[in-house]
Amino acid sequence: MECNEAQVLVSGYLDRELTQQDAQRVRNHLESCDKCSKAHAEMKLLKERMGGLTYPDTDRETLAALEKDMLSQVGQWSGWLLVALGILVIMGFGMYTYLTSPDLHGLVKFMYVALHLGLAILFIVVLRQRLKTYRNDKYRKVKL
Amino acid sequence: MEHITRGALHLAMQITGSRDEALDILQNAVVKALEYRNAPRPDDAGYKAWFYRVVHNQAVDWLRREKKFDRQAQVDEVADEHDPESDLAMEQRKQMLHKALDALAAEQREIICLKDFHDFSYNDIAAIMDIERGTVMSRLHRARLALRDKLVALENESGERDGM
Repeated sequence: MECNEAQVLVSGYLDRELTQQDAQRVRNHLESCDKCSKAHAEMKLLKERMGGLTYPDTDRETLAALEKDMLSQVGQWSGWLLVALGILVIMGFGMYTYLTSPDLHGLVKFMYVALHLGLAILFIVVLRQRLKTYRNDKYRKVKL
Repeated sequence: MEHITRGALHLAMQITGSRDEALDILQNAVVKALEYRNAPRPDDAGYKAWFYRVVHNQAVDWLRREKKFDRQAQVDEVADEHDPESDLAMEQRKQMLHKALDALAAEQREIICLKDFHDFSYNDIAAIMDIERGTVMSRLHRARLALRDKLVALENESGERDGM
Protein backbone atom coordinates (compact mmCIF):
# COMPACT_ATOMS: atom_id res chain seq x y z
CA MET A 1 0.00 0.00 0.00
CA GLU A 2 1.25 3.47 -0.94
CA CYS A 3 1.24 6.39 1.52
CA ASN A 4 -1.31 8.32 -0.57
CA GLU A 5 -3.87 5.54 -0.25
CA ALA A 6 -3.07 4.92 3.41
CA GLN A 7 -3.49 8.62 4.31
CA VAL A 8 -7.09 8.64 3.07
CA LEU A 9 -7.90 5.34 4.77
CA VAL A 10 -6.39 6.38 8.11
CA SER A 11 -9.59 8.14 9.18
CA GLY A 12 -11.69 5.09 8.34
CA TYR A 13 -9.21 2.88 10.19
CA LEU A 14 -9.34 5.12 13.24
CA ASP A 15 -13.14 5.08 13.22
CA ARG A 16 -13.29 1.27 12.67
CA GLU A 17 -15.25 1.80 9.49
CA LEU A 18 -13.01 -0.18 7.10
CA THR A 19 -13.49 -3.74 5.93
CA GLN A 20 -11.33 -6.29 7.73
CA GLN A 21 -9.15 -6.59 4.66
CA ASP A 22 -8.55 -2.83 4.30
CA ALA A 23 -7.99 -2.45 8.03
CA GLN A 24 -5.30 -5.14 7.87
CA ARG A 25 -3.61 -3.44 4.91
CA VAL A 26 -3.58 -0.09 6.73
CA ARG A 27 -2.26 -1.75 9.92
CA ASN A 28 0.58 -3.34 7.97
CA HIS A 29 1.42 -0.03 6.34
CA LEU A 30 1.39 1.87 9.64
CA GLU A 31 3.82 -0.63 11.11
CA SER A 32 6.30 0.05 8.34
CA CYS A 33 5.81 3.78 7.67
CA ASP A 34 6.84 6.38 10.24
CA LYS A 35 5.21 9.27 8.39
CA CYS A 36 1.76 7.63 8.20
CA SER A 37 2.11 6.24 11.70
CA LYS A 38 2.74 9.78 12.98
CA ALA A 39 -0.29 11.09 11.05
CA HIS A 40 -2.40 8.30 12.56
CA ALA A 41 -1.21 9.16 16.09
CA GLU A 42 -2.05 12.85 15.50
CA MET A 43 -5.55 12.01 14.24
CA LYS A 44 -6.11 9.71 17.19
CA LEU A 45 -5.13 12.42 19.64
CA LEU A 46 -7.34 14.93 17.86
CA LYS A 47 -10.28 12.52 18.03
CA GLU A 48 -9.76 12.04 21.76
CA ARG A 49 -9.56 15.77 22.33
CA MET A 50 -12.74 16.33 20.32
CA GLY A 51 -14.57 13.81 22.49
CA GLY A 52 -13.64 15.82 25.57
CA LEU A 53 -15.08 19.12 24.34
CA THR A 54 -17.78 20.71 26.43
CA TYR A 55 -20.36 23.34 25.64
CA PRO A 56 -22.29 25.80 27.80
CA ASP A 57 -24.89 23.67 29.49
CA THR A 58 -28.55 24.21 28.83
CA ASP A 59 -30.58 23.48 31.90
CA ARG A 60 -33.50 21.06 31.94
CA GLU A 61 -36.01 23.86 32.47
CA THR A 62 -34.95 25.62 29.25
CA LEU A 63 -35.24 22.40 27.22
CA ALA A 64 -38.55 21.51 28.86
CA ALA A 65 -39.88 25.03 28.23
CA LEU A 66 -38.74 24.76 24.62
CA GLU A 67 -40.61 21.50 24.11
CA LYS A 68 -43.69 22.85 25.88
CA ASP A 69 -43.54 26.00 23.79
CA MET A 70 -43.27 23.90 20.63
CA LEU A 71 -46.25 21.76 21.57
CA SER A 72 -48.36 24.83 22.26
CA GLN A 73 -47.20 26.33 18.95
CA VAL A 74 -48.26 23.20 17.06
CA GLY A 75 -51.52 23.12 19.03
CA GLN A 76 -52.18 26.75 18.19
CA TRP A 77 -51.51 26.19 14.47
CA SER A 78 -53.72 23.09 14.39
CA GLY A 79 -56.48 25.04 16.16
CA TRP A 80 -56.37 27.91 13.67
CA LEU A 81 -56.22 25.47 10.77
CA LEU A 82 -59.37 23.67 11.97
CA VAL A 83 -61.21 26.97 12.53
CA ALA A 84 -60.23 28.19 9.03
CA LEU A 85 -61.29 24.88 7.47
CA GLY A 86 -64.61 24.97 9.32
CA ILE A 87 -65.34 28.53 8.16
CA LEU A 88 -64.42 27.68 4.57
CA VAL A 89 -66.67 24.61 4.49
CA ILE A 90 -69.61 26.49 6.03
CA MET A 91 -69.13 29.43 3.63
CA GLY A 92 -68.82 27.11 0.65
CA PHE A 93 -71.93 25.18 1.61
CA GLY A 94 -73.87 28.39 2.25
CA MET A 95 -72.81 29.86 -1.05
CA TYR A 96 -73.67 26.69 -2.95
CA THR A 97 -77.14 26.47 -1.36
CA TYR A 98 -77.78 30.17 -1.92
CA LEU A 99 -76.63 30.28 -5.51
CA THR A 100 -78.46 27.16 -6.57
CA SER A 101 -81.73 28.36 -5.04
CA PRO A 102 -84.27 29.00 -7.88
CA ASP A 103 -86.24 31.59 -5.82
CA LEU A 104 -83.53 34.27 -5.82
CA HIS A 105 -83.00 37.01 -8.34
CA GLY A 106 -79.70 36.99 -10.33
CA LEU A 107 -78.71 40.45 -9.01
CA VAL A 108 -79.03 39.32 -5.40
CA LYS A 109 -76.89 36.29 -6.17
CA PHE A 110 -74.31 38.54 -7.80
CA MET A 111 -74.24 40.89 -4.77
CA TYR A 112 -73.84 37.91 -2.48
CA VAL A 113 -70.83 36.62 -4.46
CA ALA A 114 -69.32 40.14 -4.62
CA LEU A 115 -69.64 40.54 -0.83
CA HIS A 116 -67.87 37.26 -0.13
CA LEU A 117 -65.21 37.88 -2.74
CA GLY A 118 -64.54 41.33 -1.28
CA LEU A 119 -64.18 39.88 2.21
CA ALA A 120 -61.79 37.20 0.92
CA ILE A 121 -59.64 39.80 -0.90
CA LEU A 122 -59.52 42.00 2.22
CA PHE A 123 -58.50 39.01 4.33
CA ILE A 124 -55.70 38.02 1.92
CA VAL A 125 -54.36 41.61 1.73
CA VAL A 126 -54.27 41.98 5.53
CA LEU A 127 -52.70 38.52 5.95
CA ARG A 128 -50.02 39.35 3.37
CA GLN A 129 -49.21 42.64 5.14
CA ARG A 130 -48.99 40.92 8.53
CA LEU A 131 -46.67 38.22 7.16
CA LYS A 132 -44.46 40.82 5.49
CA THR A 133 -44.21 42.82 8.72
CA TYR A 134 -43.47 39.66 10.69
CA ARG A 135 -40.61 38.65 8.35
CA ASN A 136 -39.00 42.08 8.42
CA ASP A 137 -39.47 42.69 12.12
CA LYS A 138 -35.97 42.99 13.56
CA TYR A 139 -37.25 42.91 17.10
CA ARG A 140 -39.42 39.79 16.92
CA LYS A 141 -36.81 37.74 18.79
CA VAL A 142 -36.56 40.23 21.62
CA LYS A 143 -38.09 38.65 24.70
CA LEU A 144 -39.89 41.12 26.94
CA MET B 1 -35.45 12.07 24.60
CA GLU B 2 -33.76 14.84 26.59
CA HIS B 3 -30.24 13.69 25.68
CA ILE B 4 -31.17 13.72 21.97
CA THR B 5 -32.57 17.24 22.24
CA ARG B 6 -29.48 18.38 24.16
CA GLY B 7 -27.13 16.74 21.64
CA ALA B 8 -29.05 18.27 18.73
CA LEU B 9 -28.76 21.67 20.41
CA HIS B 10 -24.98 21.16 20.61
CA LEU B 11 -24.88 20.26 16.90
CA ALA B 12 -26.82 23.44 16.04
CA MET B 13 -24.38 25.44 18.19
CA GLN B 14 -21.44 23.77 16.47
CA ILE B 15 -22.78 24.58 13.00
CA THR B 16 -24.00 28.14 13.63
CA GLY B 17 -21.60 29.22 16.35
CA SER B 18 -24.44 30.92 18.19
CA ARG B 19 -26.45 29.63 21.15
CA ASP B 20 -29.46 31.85 20.45
CA GLU B 21 -29.63 30.78 16.82
CA ALA B 22 -29.15 27.16 17.91
CA LEU B 23 -32.16 27.42 20.24
CA ASP B 24 -34.27 28.88 17.41
CA ILE B 25 -33.10 26.13 15.05
CA LEU B 26 -33.90 23.45 17.59
CA GLN B 27 -37.35 24.89 18.15
CA ASN B 28 -38.07 24.92 14.41
CA ALA B 29 -36.69 21.40 14.09
CA VAL B 30 -39.00 20.01 16.77
CA VAL B 31 -42.00 21.77 15.23
CA LYS B 32 -41.06 20.19 11.88
CA ALA B 33 -40.60 16.83 13.57
CA LEU B 34 -44.03 17.05 15.21
CA GLU B 35 -45.68 18.13 11.97
CA TYR B 36 -44.10 15.42 9.81
CA ARG B 37 -46.49 12.49 9.53
CA ASN B 38 -43.95 9.80 8.67
CA ALA B 39 -41.47 10.81 11.37
CA PRO B 40 -40.03 7.90 13.39
CA ARG B 41 -41.16 7.71 17.01
CA PRO B 42 -38.75 9.05 19.66
CA ASP B 43 -38.16 5.52 20.98
CA ASP B 44 -37.30 4.12 17.50
CA ALA B 45 -33.65 3.28 16.81
CA GLY B 46 -33.43 5.63 13.81
CA TYR B 47 -35.03 8.61 15.57
CA LYS B 48 -31.77 10.21 16.74
CA ALA B 49 -30.15 10.32 13.28
CA TRP B 50 -33.47 11.40 11.73
CA PHE B 51 -33.89 14.28 14.19
CA TYR B 52 -30.27 15.36 13.72
CA ARG B 53 -30.94 15.46 9.98
CA VAL B 54 -33.88 17.82 10.56
CA VAL B 55 -31.60 20.02 12.70
CA HIS B 56 -28.88 19.83 10.02
CA ASN B 57 -31.37 20.98 7.34
CA GLN B 58 -32.60 23.83 9.50
CA ALA B 59 -29.03 24.91 10.28
CA VAL B 60 -27.99 24.76 6.62
CA ASP B 61 -31.03 26.89 5.70
CA TRP B 62 -29.93 29.40 8.34
CA LEU B 63 -26.35 29.43 7.00
CA ARG B 64 -27.65 30.04 3.47
CA ARG B 65 -29.96 32.82 4.64
CA GLU B 66 -27.19 34.47 6.61
CA LYS B 67 -24.62 33.72 3.84
CA LYS B 68 -22.27 32.23 6.42
CA PHE B 69 -21.62 28.88 4.72
CA ASP B 70 -17.89 29.38 4.34
CA ARG B 71 -17.32 31.72 7.19
CA GLN B 72 -16.04 30.79 10.56
CA ALA B 73 -18.25 30.67 13.62
CA GLN B 74 -18.30 33.35 16.28
CA VAL B 75 -15.84 31.82 18.70
CA ASP B 76 -16.80 33.62 21.87
CA GLU B 77 -20.44 32.63 21.80
CA VAL B 78 -19.99 28.87 21.92
CA ALA B 79 -16.63 28.59 23.63
CA ASP B 80 -16.87 26.60 26.79
CA GLU B 81 -17.39 28.50 29.99
CA HIS B 82 -14.26 28.59 32.09
CA ASP B 83 -14.28 26.26 35.04
CA PRO B 84 -11.88 27.49 37.74
CA GLU B 85 -11.86 24.07 39.39
CA SER B 86 -10.37 22.27 36.41
CA ASP B 87 -6.77 22.17 35.34
CA LEU B 88 -5.75 25.44 33.68
CA ALA B 89 -3.61 23.84 30.98
CA MET B 90 -6.42 21.48 30.02
CA GLU B 91 -8.84 24.39 29.87
CA GLN B 92 -6.45 26.28 27.60
CA ARG B 93 -6.13 23.28 25.29
CA LYS B 94 -9.92 23.01 25.11
CA GLN B 95 -10.27 26.70 24.32
CA MET B 96 -7.64 26.34 21.61
CA LEU B 97 -9.52 23.41 20.08
CA HIS B 98 -12.76 25.41 20.13
CA LYS B 99 -10.99 28.24 18.32
CA ALA B 100 -9.47 25.92 15.72
CA LEU B 101 -12.82 24.22 15.18
CA ASP B 102 -14.65 27.48 14.80
CA ALA B 103 -12.10 28.63 12.23
CA LEU B 104 -13.13 25.78 9.89
CA ALA B 105 -15.86 26.02 7.25
CA ALA B 106 -19.27 25.03 8.65
CA GLU B 107 -19.39 21.79 6.67
CA GLN B 108 -16.00 20.62 7.95
CA ARG B 109 -16.87 21.59 11.50
CA GLU B 110 -20.13 19.67 11.28
CA ILE B 111 -18.69 16.43 9.92
CA ILE B 112 -15.94 16.31 12.58
CA CYS B 113 -18.43 17.03 15.34
CA LEU B 114 -20.87 14.39 14.10
CA LYS B 115 -18.13 11.75 14.23
CA ASP B 116 -15.82 12.73 17.07
CA PHE B 117 -18.20 14.56 19.40
CA HIS B 118 -21.58 12.91 18.75
CA ASP B 119 -20.07 9.53 17.79
CA PHE B 120 -22.29 8.76 14.79
CA SER B 121 -21.41 5.98 12.34
CA TYR B 122 -20.48 6.81 8.73
CA ASN B 123 -23.90 5.51 7.62
CA ASP B 124 -25.69 7.87 10.00
CA ILE B 125 -23.49 10.82 8.99
CA ALA B 126 -24.24 10.08 5.33
CA ALA B 127 -27.97 10.12 6.13
CA ILE B 128 -27.78 13.28 8.25
CA MET B 129 -25.72 15.28 5.75
CA ASP B 130 -27.40 13.70 2.72
CA ILE B 131 -24.14 12.55 1.11
CA GLU B 132 -22.76 9.19 -0.04
CA ARG B 133 -21.21 6.96 2.61
CA GLY B 134 -17.98 6.86 0.57
CA THR B 135 -17.81 10.65 0.64
CA VAL B 136 -17.99 10.72 4.44
CA MET B 137 -14.52 9.22 4.90
CA SER B 138 -12.75 11.51 2.43
CA ARG B 139 -14.53 14.65 3.69
CA LEU B 140 -13.90 13.69 7.29
CA HIS B 141 -10.24 13.08 6.57
CA ARG B 142 -9.84 16.47 4.86
CA ALA B 143 -11.68 18.16 7.73
CA ARG B 144 -9.44 16.49 10.31
CA LEU B 145 -6.33 17.57 8.41
CA ALA B 146 -7.66 21.13 8.26
CA LEU B 147 -8.43 21.06 11.99
CA ARG B 148 -4.96 19.71 12.80
CA ASP B 149 -3.34 22.49 10.72
CA LYS B 150 -5.44 25.21 12.35
CA LEU B 151 -4.66 23.83 15.78
CA VAL B 152 -0.92 23.68 15.11
CA ALA B 153 -0.99 27.27 13.77
CA LEU B 154 -2.91 28.49 16.83
CA GLU B 155 -0.61 26.65 19.24
CA ASN B 156 2.48 28.06 17.53
CA GLU B 157 0.95 31.53 17.64
CA SER B 158 0.17 31.15 21.32
CA GLY B 159 3.68 29.79 22.03
CA GLU B 160 5.26 32.77 20.29
CA ARG B 161 3.06 35.17 22.27
CA ASP B 162 3.93 33.50 25.56
CA GLY B 163 7.63 33.53 24.63
CA MET B 164 7.64 37.30 24.09
